[in-house]
Amino acid sequence: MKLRTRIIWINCILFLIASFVTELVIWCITADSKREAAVLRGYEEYHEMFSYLSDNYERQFKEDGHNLSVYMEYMLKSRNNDYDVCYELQNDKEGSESYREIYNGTILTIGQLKKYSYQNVKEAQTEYPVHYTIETIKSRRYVIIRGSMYNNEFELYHIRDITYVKDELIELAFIMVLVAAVVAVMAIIILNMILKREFKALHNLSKSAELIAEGEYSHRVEMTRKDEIGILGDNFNKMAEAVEKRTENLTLFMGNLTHELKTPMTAISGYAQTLLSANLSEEEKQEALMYIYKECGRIERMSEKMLKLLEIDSSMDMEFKEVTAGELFDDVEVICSAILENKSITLTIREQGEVFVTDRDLMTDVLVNLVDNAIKASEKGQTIILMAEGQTIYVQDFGKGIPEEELENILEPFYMIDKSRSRKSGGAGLGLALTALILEKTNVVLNIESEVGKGSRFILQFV
Amino acid sequence: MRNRILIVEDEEAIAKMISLNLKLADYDATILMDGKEAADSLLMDNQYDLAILDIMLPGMDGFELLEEMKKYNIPVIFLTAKTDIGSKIQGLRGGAEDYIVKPFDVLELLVRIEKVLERENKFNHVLKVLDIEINLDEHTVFKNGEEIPLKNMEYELLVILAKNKNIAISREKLISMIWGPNFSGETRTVDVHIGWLRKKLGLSNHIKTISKVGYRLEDK
Repeated sequence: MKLRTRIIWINCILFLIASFVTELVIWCITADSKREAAVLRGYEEYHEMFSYLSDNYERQFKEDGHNLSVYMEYMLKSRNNDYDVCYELQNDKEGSESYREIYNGTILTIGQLKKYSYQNVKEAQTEYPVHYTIETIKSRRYVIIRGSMYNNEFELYHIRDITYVKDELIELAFIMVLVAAVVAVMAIIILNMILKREFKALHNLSKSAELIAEGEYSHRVEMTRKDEIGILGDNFNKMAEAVEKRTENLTLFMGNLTHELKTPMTAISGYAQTLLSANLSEEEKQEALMYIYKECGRIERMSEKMLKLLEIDSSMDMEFKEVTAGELFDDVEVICSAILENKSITLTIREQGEVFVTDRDLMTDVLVNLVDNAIKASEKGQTIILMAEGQTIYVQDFGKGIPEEELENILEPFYMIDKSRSRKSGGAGLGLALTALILEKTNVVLNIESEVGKGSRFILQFV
Repeated sequence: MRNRILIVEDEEAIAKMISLNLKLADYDATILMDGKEAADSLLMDNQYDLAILDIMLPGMDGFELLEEMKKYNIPVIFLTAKTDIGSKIQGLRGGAEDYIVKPFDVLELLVRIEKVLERENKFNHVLKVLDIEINLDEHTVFKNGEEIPLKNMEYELLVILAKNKNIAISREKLISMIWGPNFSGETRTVDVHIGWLRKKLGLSNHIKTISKVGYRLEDK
């Protein structure tokens, strides 16, 4: 399910639960309050009857000396409503109670009235306690107020129909539910609209990601918000930038690679064609075959270095062990001995037992490459210095030197300052790129100092 | 008089391969490997009928060298590994006659060289092979001074073999070159015509059948 829909559902359910609970509480409170009011009203009516009875007696009938019960009967009958009940309590000599009906305008008998359990009416203002109960009779609700007069001689009841309370409460409940439903629906609509807008940014982000995945690496997402989604957008753009850079570098690399491959391929294919179709002398045939052989060797060396580049780039397992400068330098000397001799170049080694923690094989590759480059840059009879000091290794030559403007380019794959010279010695411009990658992966900082005509110094700082 | 062609290419293997093929096709080829060197050498010797220049050269790049060549009216064919349209347009706009991309078919290069030379009217109008002389202007063929009448197709076939002497050409290529690329006939047609050529010009020993490759007119 969509996030937006989920959020709306959750909100809707929470809202409905909250409003249900709130409304229930309010409804209960209202119900109590209404009932209380109804009881109070009932009591007021009772009190009115009570006052009516007691007031008049004080005034008139007492003077005349009439009988209390006669008076009561007369009074109530003259009122003649169907809410009042009056009983005279009579105690006979044995102590059991009996009742004599004075007036009963209601449908209830004293027997029934007596059966109910009554509670105190707290607001009663008479000397005598007043009670009430709420009962359902023949599907209508009544409050029955009970009190007494003249030392409990008379028991008075007043009945009030309070069915209207129930009706009102039901109506209230109905309205509450309806309102909640309507508000819920409106909330859904408004929430939906708001979320749609908020989610648009996410939607854009998602579409942009799709575009980039399809290859449009220069695409960026427009983000002006400052909140979490804004931050996400910014980070997304950063990521796109990195991806674009990477693919650009890769494209450049592939471009250079293709170029470097095309050249030997042209020669090989051309010579092969010629050998097949042309009428050549033995000498010419030999030369053609020799070139084919040489160029194949070049492709071989290049692909070897390329594989290594790829291997190392994908973080192959490197073994970091302790190795002394002496061990490293000896290996290098042995490997380079032939080419050193060829050009009558002296390799001077300076070290005082420094110990380095690094991958021995890879570091040897690096040093061999640097020494090899130094040899290529030097003239016959010159010297190359391979030195260790503290946690730094120096490779110094006194040959051609590197022009300042080339310094930032020489570590790029396939870059060669002097192409014809490099190619003649079988190079493809990958040595330094490989060296730079190895140093990066083994946490060694490379610095190059060079002066044209004076020489170059490659400084490797082990961190 | 043989046509003189200057090759300026810093890859020794490729330069030598081109020069080898040019020599086989009866051109005089000179190799230089540095742009600046080439420009300087023109001061002393600029009697070239055509120059084949690599674009990425040390000393002076191909485009700059083109300007030098133009001074001496030497037509230029560019040779390069750069396939992007930009370079092609730049090259041709700059005034080069043609542009060929590495790796290339040697035969294609030879044909393009021929086309340029023809356009510049520098191409030799008389082809000489062994004791046969072919006059390209008049479409006549002489053997030992005697004119040999040839049918149109035979003539075309002979011309192609002679222009590419010592280089084998496949039947399919021959058909495509003479009868056009949409020809749906049999390659046997070529064989038949070769047979007639051999007979009419006594070239049975010189038009060799190179198995799996094609036919080759040899003069060695």
